[in-house]
Amino acid sequence: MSVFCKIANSLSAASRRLSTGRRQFGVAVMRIVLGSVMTVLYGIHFSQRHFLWGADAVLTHADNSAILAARRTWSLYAVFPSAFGAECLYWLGLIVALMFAAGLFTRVTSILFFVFTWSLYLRNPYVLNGGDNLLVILGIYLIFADLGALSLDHGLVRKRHEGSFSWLSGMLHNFAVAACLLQLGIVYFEAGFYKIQGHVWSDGTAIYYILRSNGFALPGWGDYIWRSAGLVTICTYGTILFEITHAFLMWHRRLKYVIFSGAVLLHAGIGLLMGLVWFSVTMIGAHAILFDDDEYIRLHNWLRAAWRQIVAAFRGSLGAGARSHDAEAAAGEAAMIESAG
Amino acid sequence: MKQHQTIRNVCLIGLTALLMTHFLMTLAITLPPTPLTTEYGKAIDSWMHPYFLQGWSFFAPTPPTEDDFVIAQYKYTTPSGSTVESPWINLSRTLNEAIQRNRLSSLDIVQQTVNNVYGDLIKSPLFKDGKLDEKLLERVTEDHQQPVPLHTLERAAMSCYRITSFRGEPVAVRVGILIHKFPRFTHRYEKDDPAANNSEIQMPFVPFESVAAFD
Repeated sequence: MSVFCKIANSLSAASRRLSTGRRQFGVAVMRIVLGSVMTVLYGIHFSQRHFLWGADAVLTHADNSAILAARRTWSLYAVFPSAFGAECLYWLGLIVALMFAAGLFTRVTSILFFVFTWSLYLRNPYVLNGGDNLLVILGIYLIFADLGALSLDHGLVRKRHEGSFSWLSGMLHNFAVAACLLQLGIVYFEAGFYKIQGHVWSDGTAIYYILRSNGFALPGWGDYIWRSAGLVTICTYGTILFEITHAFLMWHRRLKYVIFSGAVLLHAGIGLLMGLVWFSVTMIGAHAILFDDDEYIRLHNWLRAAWRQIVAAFRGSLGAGARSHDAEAAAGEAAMIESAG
Repeated sequence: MKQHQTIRNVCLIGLTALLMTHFLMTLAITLPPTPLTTEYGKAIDSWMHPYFLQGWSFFAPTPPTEDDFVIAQYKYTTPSGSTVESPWINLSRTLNEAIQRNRLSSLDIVQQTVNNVYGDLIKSPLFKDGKLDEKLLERVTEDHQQPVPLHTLERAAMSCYRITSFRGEPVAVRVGILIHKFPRFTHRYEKDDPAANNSEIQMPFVPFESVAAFD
């Protein structure tokens, strides 16, 4: 067999393998988390919406147009600058985020989710943090993914007949998954790469300065950490170690669990101690893509078995309670009969 | 069937090439400039802008080693008709303390806006090597041509007027920056006096504008 034939055969095998969508539960969990974060953000900032995104917002439309022009981009809020237009876009964005989280008409809502999120953020780019930036980028990749798992579409919308080009959808899905994974790796690699160049990171005191800064302080808990030389050093070096290794270990079958645990620990700390709650939720949610479908099925089965055990134990204790209650009642009744006799 | 397989293979090659190109561009824009990225900077920028802009340094290489507070002062007309200047109000500290009391407060986004605008302001042409160019500031203020971040910060301060205790019709506002150096790590047990180790930058007064309020 010629080399050309061998290459052609392995290419065909790879293209057949990649024609079926993988990590469907991972992208579905990501969809739920990102959609929920946006829904909550629309919800909790409802009372700030005029100040942040309205016609009379802190960033004027003229200033916003200058920013959009400099960045060569757009926002629907610039197309409909009136108070009524901003109000409609806000409500529509909230509905779309809710539909995206619930998984309703995912093919369409994934595009609308990106359009409305982008428009909202670009109406006032000053509201953005790293989590929002990642959310937007992942939102673009998710447009190409099959988000049908764990969705309302699954029950409500009849599955389309598999056409002769359904393989293309599967292939696009797998490339979207790969893009999400690579993006996640780059985020942490860059974060760690720049940290090792900073002297307060390399001398192990960076966490002190972050927790001491008024904008990220949490009086009480934060003080407890920054007063301790040991905790400051461990947290500083632990952060660097986690971020640098993340991009490499996240691909390993077993070590990715360590990476996921590290991400939960790091971001829970950031959310609680530094007050960046929604940034942290977004970053943890993005890690849902690390696990393949079999792992989600195993987790589901384990949770179901655990739930059954809890229910059985609860019923057992209720039954035992009921039996002892019955025995007490019977003894009381016998004592009453005896005393009456 | 064979033709079908060929299309699949071509798509696989195309998508792989696209993915690799995209993430090489992403790496090129996130890592420090190299001779290669400098030479192809325009091509990289046009690929990444505006949707895939990246910035993941997260407190690197240097986290904040001082507190930079946005402060504001108001000119307002009292009920008796006289115009008075208020004392300076620390907007950042007020917002920070609200978030410290409630980690899920909706004011977090207002705090973030003020912080990000301040970050943008010190990168604006008004500041050269960290120092305020007072002549340029005077000129742009006279021409009502403040840079976007300064104008936004002034509007944020205007919106904050209603949460102050000043009673009267606001006429003008000016913002400033209060820089407070807190103790270095080796002096962490020393008492941090908020009134000490401070420096201030003050901007000129500008007339009040209509701005939506926040809750």
